[in-house]
Amino acid sequence: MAEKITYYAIVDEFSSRDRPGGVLRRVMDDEGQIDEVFSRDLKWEFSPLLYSAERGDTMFDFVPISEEEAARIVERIRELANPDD
Amino acid sequence: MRIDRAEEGDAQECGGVRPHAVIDGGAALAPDRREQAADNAWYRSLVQETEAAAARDLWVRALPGFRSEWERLEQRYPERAQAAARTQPDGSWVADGDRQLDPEQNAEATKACEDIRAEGTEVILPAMQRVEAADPERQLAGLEHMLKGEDRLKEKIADALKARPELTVAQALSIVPDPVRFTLIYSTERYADGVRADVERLKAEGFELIKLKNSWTDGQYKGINSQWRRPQTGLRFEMQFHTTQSLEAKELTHKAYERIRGPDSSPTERRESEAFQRRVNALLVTPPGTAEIKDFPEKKHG
Repeated sequence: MAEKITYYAIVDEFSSRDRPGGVLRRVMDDEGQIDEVFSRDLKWEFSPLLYSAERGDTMFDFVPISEEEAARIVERIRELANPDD
Repeated sequence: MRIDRAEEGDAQECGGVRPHAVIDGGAALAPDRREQAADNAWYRSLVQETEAAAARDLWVRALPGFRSEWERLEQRYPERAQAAARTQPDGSWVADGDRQLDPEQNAEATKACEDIRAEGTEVILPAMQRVEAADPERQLAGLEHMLKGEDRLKEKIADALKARPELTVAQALSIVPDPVRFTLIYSTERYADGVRADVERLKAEGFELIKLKNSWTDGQYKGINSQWRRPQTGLRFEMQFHTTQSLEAKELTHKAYERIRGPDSSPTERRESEAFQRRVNALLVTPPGTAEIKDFPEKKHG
Protein backbone atom coordinates (compact mmCIF):
# COMPACT_ATOMS: atom_id res chain seq x y z
CA MET A 1 0.00 0.00 0.00
CA ALA A 2 1.33 3.42 -0.93
CA GLU A 3 1.61 5.88 1.92
CA LYS A 4 -1.67 7.65 2.54
CA ILE A 5 -1.95 10.85 4.57
CA THR A 6 -5.21 12.18 5.96
CA TYR A 7 -5.28 15.65 7.49
CA TYR A 8 -7.63 16.81 10.23
CA ALA A 9 -8.43 20.28 11.55
CA ILE A 10 -8.44 20.43 15.35
CA VAL A 11 -11.44 22.31 16.69
CA ASP A 12 -12.33 23.21 20.27
CA GLU A 13 -14.08 25.93 22.21
CA PHE A 14 -11.30 28.43 21.56
CA SER A 15 -11.29 27.83 17.81
CA SER A 16 -13.80 27.10 15.07
CA ARG A 17 -14.21 25.14 11.86
CA ASP A 18 -13.39 28.37 9.97
CA ARG A 19 -10.32 29.01 12.09
CA PRO A 20 -9.11 25.65 13.42
CA GLY A 21 -6.78 25.63 16.39
CA GLY A 22 -4.34 23.11 14.98
CA VAL A 23 -3.74 20.36 12.47
CA LEU A 24 -3.17 16.61 12.80
CA ARG A 25 -2.15 14.15 10.11
CA ARG A 26 -2.59 10.38 10.06
CA VAL A 27 0.05 8.64 8.00
CA MET A 28 -0.82 5.09 6.92
CA ASP A 29 1.34 2.58 5.09
CA ASP A 30 1.88 -1.18 4.99
CA GLU A 31 3.33 -1.19 8.48
CA GLY A 32 0.46 0.59 10.18
CA GLN A 33 -0.21 4.17 11.09
CA ILE A 34 1.07 7.09 13.10
CA ASP A 35 -0.63 10.36 14.07
CA GLU A 36 1.28 13.63 14.25
CA VAL A 37 0.37 17.24 15.05
CA PHE A 38 2.14 20.33 13.82
CA SER A 39 3.40 21.50 17.19
CA ARG A 40 4.33 24.82 18.73
CA ASP A 41 7.92 23.72 18.13
CA LEU A 42 7.11 24.02 14.42
CA LYS A 43 7.59 20.35 13.59
CA TRP A 44 5.40 17.30 13.13
CA GLU A 45 5.31 15.36 16.41
CA PHE A 46 3.51 12.25 17.58
CA SER A 47 0.10 12.88 19.14
CA PRO A 48 -2.35 10.50 20.85
CA LEU A 49 -5.28 12.94 20.57
CA LEU A 50 -7.16 11.38 17.65
CA TYR A 51 -6.76 7.91 19.14
CA SER A 52 -8.30 9.26 22.34
CA ALA A 53 -11.17 10.79 20.37
CA GLU A 54 -11.78 7.42 18.71
CA ARG A 55 -12.00 6.00 22.22
CA GLY A 56 -14.77 8.46 23.14
CA ASP A 57 -12.75 11.43 24.38
CA THR A 58 -14.67 14.66 23.77
CA MET A 59 -11.94 17.28 24.24
CA PHE A 60 -11.38 18.06 20.54
CA ASP A 61 -13.28 17.60 17.30
CA PHE A 62 -11.26 16.33 14.35
CA VAL A 63 -12.54 17.37 10.93
CA PRO A 64 -11.01 15.81 7.79
CA ILE A 65 -9.54 18.54 5.56
CA SER A 66 -7.60 18.85 2.32
CA GLU A 67 -3.83 19.00 2.13
CA GLU A 68 -4.14 22.63 0.99
CA GLU A 69 -6.15 23.61 4.06
CA ALA A 70 -3.69 21.74 6.28
CA ALA A 71 -0.86 23.74 4.70
CA ARG A 72 -2.68 26.99 5.48
CA ILE A 73 -3.03 26.02 9.16
CA VAL A 74 0.66 25.08 9.30
CA GLU A 75 1.54 28.45 7.80
CA ARG A 76 -0.61 30.28 10.35
CA ILE A 77 1.09 28.40 13.22
CA ARG A 78 4.49 29.38 11.78
CA GLU A 79 3.42 33.02 11.63
CA LEU A 80 2.22 32.93 15.24
CA ALA A 81 5.60 31.59 16.31
CA ASN A 82 7.53 34.12 14.25
CA PRO A 83 5.31 37.18 13.89
CA ASP A 84 8.12 39.35 12.51
CA ASP A 85 9.04 37.00 9.64
CA MET B 1 -32.36 -16.23 15.27
CA ARG B 2 -35.86 -17.39 14.39
CA ILE B 3 -38.56 -18.31 16.83
CA ASP B 4 -41.56 -20.18 15.49
CA ARG B 5 -43.57 -20.32 18.63
CA ALA B 6 -43.23 -19.55 22.26
CA GLU B 7 -43.49 -22.20 24.89
CA GLU B 8 -44.91 -21.43 28.28
CA GLY B 9 -41.51 -21.76 29.90
CA ASP B 10 -40.00 -19.24 27.49
CA ALA B 11 -42.57 -16.67 28.47
CA GLN B 12 -41.83 -17.11 32.16
CA GLU B 13 -38.10 -16.97 31.57
CA CYS B 14 -38.34 -13.77 29.56
CA GLY B 15 -40.73 -12.17 31.98
CA GLY B 16 -43.52 -12.00 29.44
CA VAL B 17 -47.04 -13.33 29.16
CA ARG B 18 -48.92 -13.49 25.90
CA PRO B 19 -51.01 -10.35 26.09
CA HIS B 20 -54.34 -11.49 24.68
CA ALA B 21 -54.34 -14.42 27.06
CA VAL B 22 -54.82 -12.06 29.97
CA ILE B 23 -56.71 -9.24 28.33
CA ASP B 24 -60.44 -9.25 28.78
CA GLY B 25 -61.51 -11.50 25.97
CA GLY B 26 -64.54 -9.40 24.97
CA ALA B 27 -64.71 -8.93 21.23
CA ALA B 28 -65.51 -5.23 21.58
CA LEU B 29 -62.30 -4.53 23.53
CA ALA B 30 -59.99 -6.89 21.69
CA PRO B 31 -61.05 -7.58 18.13
CA ASP B 32 -59.02 -10.07 16.11
CA ARG B 33 -56.76 -7.45 14.55
CA ARG B 34 -55.94 -5.90 17.88
CA GLU B 35 -55.17 -9.31 19.33
CA GLN B 36 -53.00 -10.04 16.33
CA ALA B 37 -51.09 -6.78 16.80
CA ALA B 38 -50.61 -7.49 20.49
CA ASP B 39 -49.41 -11.00 19.66
CA ASN B 40 -46.96 -9.64 17.10
CA ALA B 41 -45.55 -7.11 19.57
CA TRP B 42 -45.20 -9.79 22.20
CA TYR B 43 -43.37 -12.13 19.83
CA ARG B 44 -41.07 -9.30 18.71
CA SER B 45 -40.23 -8.54 22.31
CA LEU B 46 -39.62 -12.23 22.99
CA VAL B 47 -37.32 -12.51 19.99
CA GLN B 48 -35.37 -9.41 21.09
CA GLU B 49 -34.98 -10.71 24.62
CA THR B 50 -33.94 -14.15 23.40
CA GLU B 51 -31.44 -12.66 20.96
CA ALA B 52 -30.02 -10.41 23.68
CA ALA B 53 -29.64 -13.41 25.98
CA ALA B 54 -27.92 -15.38 23.20
CA ALA B 55 -25.58 -12.45 22.51
CA ARG B 56 -24.74 -12.14 26.21
CA ASP B 57 -23.95 -15.84 26.26
CA LEU B 58 -21.77 -15.50 23.16
CA TRP B 59 -19.92 -12.59 24.81
CA VAL B 60 -19.29 -14.56 28.01
CA ARG B 61 -18.00 -17.52 26.02
CA ALA B 62 -15.74 -15.29 23.89
CA LEU B 63 -14.08 -13.50 26.82
CA PRO B 64 -11.45 -16.18 27.64
CA GLY B 65 -10.39 -16.29 23.98
CA PHE B 66 -9.99 -12.50 23.89
CA ARG B 67 -7.92 -12.59 27.08
CA SER B 68 -5.65 -15.26 25.57
CA GLU B 69 -5.35 -13.24 22.37
CA TRP B 70 -4.24 -10.18 24.32
CA GLU B 71 -1.70 -12.25 26.28
CA ARG B 72 -0.21 -13.40 22.97
CA LEU B 73 -0.03 -9.81 21.76
CA GLU B 74 1.69 -8.77 24.97
CA GLN B 75 4.25 -11.54 24.49
CA ARG B 76 4.90 -10.36 20.94
CA TYR B 77 5.20 -6.74 22.04
CA PRO B 78 6.55 -6.74 25.60
CA GLU B 79 5.67 -3.71 27.67
CA ARG B 80 8.45 -1.12 27.61
CA ALA B 81 9.89 0.34 30.77
CA GLN B 82 8.69 3.91 30.99
CA ALA B 83 10.32 6.70 32.91
CA ALA B 84 7.93 7.84 35.62
CA ALA B 85 6.36 11.24 35.10
CA ARG B 86 8.04 13.59 37.55
CA THR B 87 8.57 17.15 38.71
CA GLN B 88 12.16 18.25 38.21
CA PRO B 89 14.27 20.19 40.73
CA ASP B 90 13.58 23.42 38.80
CA GLY B 91 9.81 22.87 39.17
CA SER B 92 9.16 21.76 35.59
CA TRP B 93 7.38 18.49 34.86
CA VAL B 94 8.41 15.81 32.34
CA ALA B 95 6.94 12.52 31.15
CA ASP B 96 7.29 10.01 28.34
CA GLY B 97 6.78 11.12 24.78
CA ASP B 98 8.54 14.46 25.19
CA ARG B 99 5.71 15.72 27.33
CA GLN B 100 6.68 18.66 29.46
CA LEU B 101 5.34 21.61 31.39
CA ASP B 102 7.50 24.53 32.46
CA PRO B 103 7.65 25.40 36.20
CA GLU B 104 4.85 27.97 35.95
CA GLN B 105 2.60 25.64 33.92
CA ASN B 106 3.32 22.79 36.33
CA ALA B 107 2.46 24.89 39.39
CA GLU B 108 -0.82 25.97 37.76
CA ALA B 109 -1.73 22.38 36.88
CA THR B 110 -0.84 21.12 40.37
CA LYS B 111 -3.06 23.76 42.00
CA ALA B 112 -5.90 22.95 39.59
CA CYS B 113 -5.68 19.26 40.51
CA GLU B 114 -6.15 20.10 44.18
CA ASP B 115 -9.19 22.26 43.44
CA ILE B 116 -10.69 19.62 41.14
CA ARG B 117 -10.21 16.91 43.74
CA ALA B 118 -12.03 18.94 46.38
CA GLU B 119 -14.95 19.99 44.17
CA GLY B 120 -15.25 16.56 42.59
CA THR B 121 -15.49 14.82 45.94
CA GLU B 122 -17.54 17.36 47.87
CA VAL B 123 -19.96 18.59 45.19
CA ILE B 124 -20.07 16.45 42.06
CA LEU B 125 -20.00 13.02 43.72
CA PRO B 126 -23.01 13.65 46.01
CA ALA B 127 -24.98 14.88 42.99
CA MET B 128 -24.11 11.73 41.05
CA GLN B 129 -25.20 9.61 43.97
CA ARG B 130 -28.56 11.41 44.00
CA VAL B 131 -28.91 10.67 40.29
CA GLU B 132 -28.03 7.03 40.91
CA ALA B 133 -30.60 6.74 43.71
CA ALA B 134 -33.40 7.76 41.33
CA ASP B 135 -33.45 4.38 39.61
CA PRO B 136 -32.41 1.09 41.23
CA GLU B 137 -32.06 -0.69 37.88
CA ARG B 138 -28.66 0.81 36.98
CA GLN B 139 -25.69 1.89 38.99
CA LEU B 140 -22.51 3.92 39.09
CA ALA B 141 -19.39 1.90 38.41
CA GLY B 142 -15.71 2.50 39.09
CA LEU B 143 -16.05 5.29 41.63
CA GLU B 144 -12.51 4.54 42.79
CA HIS B 145 -11.35 6.02 39.46
CA MET B 146 -13.54 9.12 39.54
CA LEU B 147 -10.60 11.51 39.92
CA LYS B 148 -8.10 11.57 37.10
CA GLY B 149 -4.57 11.10 38.41
CA GLU B 150 -2.45 14.24 38.61
CA ASP B 151 0.18 13.03 36.16
CA ARG B 152 -2.43 11.79 33.72
CA LEU B 153 -4.10 15.21 33.83
CA LYS B 154 -0.76 16.88 33.18
CA GLU B 155 -0.13 14.50 30.27
CA LYS B 156 -3.41 15.57 28.78
CA ILE B 157 -2.57 19.25 29.20
CA ALA B 158 0.88 18.73 27.65
CA ASP B 159 -0.66 16.86 24.68
CA ALA B 160 -3.22 19.64 24.20
CA LEU B 161 -0.60 22.39 24.34
CA LYS B 162 1.49 20.57 21.75
CA ALA B 163 -1.44 20.32 19.34
CA ARG B 164 -2.91 23.74 20.07
CA PRO B 165 -0.10 26.31 20.00
CA GLU B 166 -2.34 29.27 20.88
CA LEU B 167 -3.79 27.83 24.10
CA THR B 168 -2.66 28.88 27.56
CA VAL B 169 -2.44 26.30 30.35
CA ALA B 170 -5.57 27.75 31.91
CA GLN B 171 -7.45 27.35 28.63
CA ALA B 172 -6.17 23.81 28.15
CA LEU B 173 -7.20 22.94 31.70
CA SER B 174 -10.63 24.44 31.14
CA ILE B 175 -11.41 22.11 28.23
CA VAL B 176 -10.14 18.83 29.68
CA PRO B 177 -13.44 16.94 29.69
CA ASP B 178 -12.75 14.32 32.32
CA PRO B 179 -10.76 15.52 35.33
CA VAL B 180 -13.68 13.99 37.23
CA ARG B 181 -15.47 11.07 35.57
CA PHE B 182 -18.30 8.69 36.26
CA THR B 183 -19.85 5.69 34.58
CA LEU B 184 -23.44 4.49 34.70
CA ILE B 185 -24.14 0.92 33.62
CA TYR B 186 -27.48 -0.38 32.36
CA SER B 187 -28.94 -3.59 31.06
CA THR B 188 -28.98 -3.76 27.26
CA GLU B 189 -32.77 -3.68 27.22
CA ARG B 190 -33.09 -0.52 29.33
CA TYR B 191 -30.05 1.31 28.02
CA ALA B 192 -31.54 3.86 25.61
CA ASP B 193 -34.41 4.92 27.85
CA GLY B 194 -32.09 4.94 30.84
CA VAL B 195 -29.54 7.22 29.17
CA ARG B 196 -32.24 9.67 28.11
CA ALA B 197 -33.70 9.77 31.61
CA ASP B 198 -30.30 10.25 33.25
CA VAL B 199 -29.32 13.08 30.89
CA GLU B 200 -32.46 14.88 32.11
CA ARG B 201 -31.64 14.06 35.74
CA LEU B 202 -28.15 15.54 35.36
CA LYS B 203 -29.66 18.70 33.90
CA ALA B 204 -32.13 18.85 36.76
CA GLU B 205 -29.15 18.78 39.15
CA GLY B 206 -28.07 22.07 37.55
CA PHE B 207 -25.28 20.76 35.31
CA GLU B 208 -24.85 22.02 31.76
CA LEU B 209 -24.44 19.51 28.94
CA ILE B 210 -21.43 20.49 26.80
CA LYS B 211 -21.10 17.46 24.53
CA LEU B 212 -22.62 14.05 24.05
CA LYS B 213 -20.94 11.55 21.74
CA ASN B 214 -22.71 8.38 20.69
CA SER B 215 -20.03 5.88 19.64
CA TRP B 216 -22.22 2.82 19.24
CA THR B 217 -21.63 2.73 15.48
CA ASP B 218 -17.86 3.10 15.85
CA GLY B 219 -15.48 0.18 15.55
CA GLN B 220 -12.92 0.96 18.25
CA TYR B 221 -15.19 1.84 21.13
CA LYS B 222 -18.85 1.36 22.02
CA GLY B 223 -20.68 3.55 24.46
CA ILE B 224 -21.91 7.10 24.97
CA ASN B 225 -19.62 9.68 26.55
CA SER B 226 -20.94 13.02 27.72
CA GLN B 227 -19.17 16.12 28.96
CA TRP B 228 -20.77 18.34 31.60
CA ARG B 229 -20.01 21.64 33.31
CA ARG B 230 -20.88 22.95 36.73
CA PRO B 231 -21.88 26.54 35.91
CA GLN B 232 -20.89 27.96 39.32
CA THR B 233 -17.18 27.17 38.84
CA GLY B 234 -16.82 25.93 35.27
CA LEU B 235 -15.54 22.53 36.45
CA ARG B 236 -16.08 19.86 33.83
CA PHE B 237 -16.78 16.23 34.39
CA GLU B 238 -17.53 13.24 32.23
CA MET B 239 -20.36 10.77 32.42
CA GLN B 240 -19.98 7.57 30.40
CA PHE B 241 -23.05 5.47 29.67
CA HIS B 242 -22.36 1.77 29.22
CA THR B 243 -24.00 -1.60 29.18
CA THR B 244 -22.40 -4.23 31.37
CA GLN B 245 -20.78 -5.75 28.27
CA SER B 246 -19.55 -2.48 26.73
CA LEU B 247 -17.87 -1.59 30.03
CA GLU B 248 -16.26 -5.05 30.09
CA ALA B 249 -15.07 -4.48 26.51
CA LYS B 250 -13.63 -1.10 27.46
CA GLU B 251 -11.73 -2.62 30.37
CA LEU B 252 -10.60 -5.61 28.31
CA THR B 253 -9.15 -3.32 25.62
CA HIS B 254 -7.66 -0.71 27.94
CA LYS B 255 -4.12 -2.00 27.58
CA ALA B 256 -4.53 -2.16 23.81
CA TYR B 257 -5.61 1.48 23.88
CA GLU B 258 -2.54 2.35 25.95
CA ARG B 259 -0.39 0.71 23.25
CA ILE B 260 -2.22 2.55 20.47
CA ARG B 261 -1.70 5.95 22.04
CA GLY B 262 1.81 5.19 23.32
CA PRO B 263 4.49 7.40 21.76
CA ASP B 264 6.96 4.52 21.50
CA SER B 265 4.64 1.91 19.98
CA SER B 266 5.58 0.72 16.50
CA PRO B 267 3.09 1.15 13.65
CA THR B 268 2.66 -2.64 13.51
CA GLU B 269 1.99 -2.89 17.24
CA ARG B 270 -0.49 -0.05 16.93
CA ARG B 271 -2.24 -1.73 13.98
CA GLU B 272 -2.55 -5.09 15.76
CA SER B 273 -3.78 -3.43 18.96
CA GLU B 274 -6.43 -1.60 16.95
CA ALA B 275 -7.47 -4.83 15.25
CA PHE B 276 -7.84 -6.42 18.69
CA GLN B 277 -10.03 -3.54 19.87
CA ARG B 278 -12.20 -3.90 16.79
CA ARG B 279 -12.65 -7.65 17.24
CA VAL B 280 -13.69 -7.24 20.87
CA ASN B 281 -16.13 -4.43 20.12
CA ALA B 282 -17.61 -6.20 17.10
CA LEU B 283 -19.15 -8.76 19.42
CA LEU B 284 -21.11 -6.24 21.48
CA VAL B 285 -24.85 -6.02 21.05
CA THR B 286 -26.03 -2.50 20.23
CA PRO B 287 -28.89 -1.76 22.62
CA PRO B 288 -32.25 -1.14 20.93
CA GLY B 289 -33.12 2.52 20.41
CA THR B 290 -29.52 3.69 20.71
CA ALA B 291 -29.40 5.07 17.16
CA GLU B 292 -32.03 7.62 18.16
CA ILE B 293 -29.73 9.18 20.75
CA LYS B 294 -28.10 12.00 18.81
CA ASP B 295 -24.76 13.65 19.41
CA PHE B 296 -24.85 17.00 21.16
CA PRO B 297 -24.21 19.44 19.73
CA GLU B 298 -25.30 17.79 16.51
CA LYS B 299 -22.42 17.48 14.06
CA LYS B 300 -22.16 20.44 11.71
CA HIS B 301 -18.55 20.10 10.61
CA GLY B 302 -17.19 18.95 7.39
